[in-house]
Amino acid sequence: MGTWRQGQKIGDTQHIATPEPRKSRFAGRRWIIAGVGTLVLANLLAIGAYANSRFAPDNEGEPGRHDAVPAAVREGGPVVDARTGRVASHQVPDRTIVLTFDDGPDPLWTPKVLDVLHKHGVPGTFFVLGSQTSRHPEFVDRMVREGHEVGVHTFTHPDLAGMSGWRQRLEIGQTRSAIAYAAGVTTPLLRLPYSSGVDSLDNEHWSVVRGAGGQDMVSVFDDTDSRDWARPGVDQIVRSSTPQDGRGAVVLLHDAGGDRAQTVAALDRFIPMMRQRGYRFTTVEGAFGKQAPGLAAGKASRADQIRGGLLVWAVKIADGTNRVLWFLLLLVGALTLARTLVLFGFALRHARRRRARTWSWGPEVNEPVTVIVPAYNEQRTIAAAVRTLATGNHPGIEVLVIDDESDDGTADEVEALGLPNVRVVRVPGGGKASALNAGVALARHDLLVMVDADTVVTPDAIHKLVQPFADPRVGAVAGNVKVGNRRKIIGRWQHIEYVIGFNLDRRLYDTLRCMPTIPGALGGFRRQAVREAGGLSRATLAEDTDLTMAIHRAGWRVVYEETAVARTEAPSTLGQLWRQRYRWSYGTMQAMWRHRRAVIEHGASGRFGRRGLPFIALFSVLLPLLAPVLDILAVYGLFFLDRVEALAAWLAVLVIQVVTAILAFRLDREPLRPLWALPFQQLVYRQVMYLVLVHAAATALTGGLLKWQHLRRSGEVAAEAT
Amino acid sequence: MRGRADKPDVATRAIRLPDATQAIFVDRSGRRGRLLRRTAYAVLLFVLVLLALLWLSQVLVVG
Repeated sequence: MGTWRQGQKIGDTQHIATPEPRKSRFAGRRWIIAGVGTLVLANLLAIGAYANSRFAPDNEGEPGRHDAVPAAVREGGPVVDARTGRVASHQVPDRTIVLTFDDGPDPLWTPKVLDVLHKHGVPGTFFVLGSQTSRHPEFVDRMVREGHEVGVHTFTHPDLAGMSGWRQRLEIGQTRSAIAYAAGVTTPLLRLPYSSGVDSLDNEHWSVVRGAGGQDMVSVFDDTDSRDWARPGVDQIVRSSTPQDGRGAVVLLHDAGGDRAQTVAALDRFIPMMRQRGYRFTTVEGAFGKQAPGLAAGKASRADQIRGGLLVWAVKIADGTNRVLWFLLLLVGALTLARTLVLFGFALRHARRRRARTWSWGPEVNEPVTVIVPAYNEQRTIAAAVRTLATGNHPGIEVLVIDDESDDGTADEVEALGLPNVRVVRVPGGGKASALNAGVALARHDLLVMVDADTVVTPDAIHKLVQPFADPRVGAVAGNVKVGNRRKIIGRWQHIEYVIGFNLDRRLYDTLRCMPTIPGALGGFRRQAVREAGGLSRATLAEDTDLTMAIHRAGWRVVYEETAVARTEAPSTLGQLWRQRYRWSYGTMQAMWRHRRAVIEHGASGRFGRRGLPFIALFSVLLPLLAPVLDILAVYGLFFLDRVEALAAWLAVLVIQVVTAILAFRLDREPLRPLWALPFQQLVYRQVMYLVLVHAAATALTGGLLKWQHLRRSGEVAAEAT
Repeated sequence: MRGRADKPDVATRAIRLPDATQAIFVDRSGRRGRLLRRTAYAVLLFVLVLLALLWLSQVLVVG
């Protein structure tokens, strides 16, 4: 006995639809791949967060104590050389201007500043940020090519004072590496973030200056601060930059960090004005080179360039990853919102139409019905299921139990009930689809109802389920299935999911005439429709979805009857839930692939293909596959962004879900009490759902085999029914 | 005289009906899975090496 293909036995008493796969050697390695992938993503996010550190404008904060700073430095010039251990301070020669620009390069303003300098034939000194250099290395290269000087302004613009020594060395070293990669030069010039003139140097920053000296760096302060970051107007910038009485000056300007239009305009006026006054423009090396040798840029070593290249590309890839994640978050948000609005609109309209007094499927349907119950080792639940079906108030119910070679006495249990309208047929084990096909062939009536053996129905469920068959165009009807075992939280979570799925999604599908699945737990069929659809296939693991799609393509209408209610037993552990949803997800993808040609077909098939398949692909496959983005960015937000904003965004998503759930529960007239479990559903259940889908998609992609898994029944629903 | 058999009709081919039970997506040869797995291993290994080099170079910067 069993199922045979090409001379090989592929299924027997194990109730499988596909051959039993061998235990994959790679099963454990999948988790390693997932773990390494997560590690790489975490690294990229951390690098991105580091390179995107937010900073305040320069000159913030009051200086602290300065008793450790030598008076010669505090009263000296803007260049402090502590490289040799002996501190030297140097003044700018008279009638000399050194233009310095901090915080760049910026893709918008740096080229404009460079253009103005080029127009007037004037060199400048750019103190660049390593993070910005990594993003726009081409501008640093241009600076060097056009004869400007490049210095270090740290990698992320932190206040180095108070930072540990290694972090200070890292900020300076990384920026030097990035410059080495971008322009092939190495620089000894450093400007500390949040620094100004030497007179404001306090003890903490003095220790940073000395530490930088240990790294062969010369600290450059300023004589005149344009305060252009405050955008005080062009006149004021020019005034603030101008030194008094023909003295020389290092002038502080900014080529990044906001709108620098005033800086560019001020520069265009300042340079000719100062030239008229007899000033010359030069770089730091040009002004101080004679007093302090070794200020000129040198050629970067190959190792420096490689180190810089690694850093620059790491930042570029991290930024790219960040951008992709934010784009996906926006996409998920937009899709979720659109789906919610569409669901609300269609579900409310559907409910209003169905509740109208004038609503009717047509004349009452009282034709006899065969209820097919496929069963494999359902001894704990079958009696309750069959009893509720056989005693239903529809006239002429025949219950046909197809025992799929059970070895736990399922068939005996049914026979022991002694119900006159119940038949038991024992078939060779071939899987659920085969058992249902046998039931379709052996049924005595043309109206069929398929019910799972772990499901109990209300007395009027069968009668209500078949009423839509008053319309001769209707080929299949979906019932309203609820979770019966809700004592555990996992049962409650599934209850919420089922109520939303059956009262919003199905109403929408019904309105759009693209119902993708008649649930295996409770579905009504015309035998002719099932036959025209080719019966139930073993090609997919979601035989109910596959059959429903085939019925659509055969030209029949598939509708939803929300008053036909059944209670089913849902998985009661996370492991069981994972296995069930893994099969559903995989099976749905198989069914969609099997019926993909519907997209280009004409008539009813094309209508379903162009309306239903994209909808399912978008909202049942793509949206859940993208759902991890929500959690990734929520965690990222908690660590690297404003925690309040991150929490608010997460709560906004939760509010949307709560509102959706309340609407669904109201439409189904269900008490709202179980909704207390909804916030916790966001922390475990939702993640399990999308991880299952990712797992199923990976299995489909790699061509792996997935077996039909039989769930262990607790019998809780059956016990309540008896 | 010896008998002569008809030449076989070379134009006739046995019809190969599609296997209705053929599971969708399943690659029984395992070739697709192997290729994807090896590609994933190679890409991940490459990225891991780059990451290791990056962190190592930063450690050297700190000295």
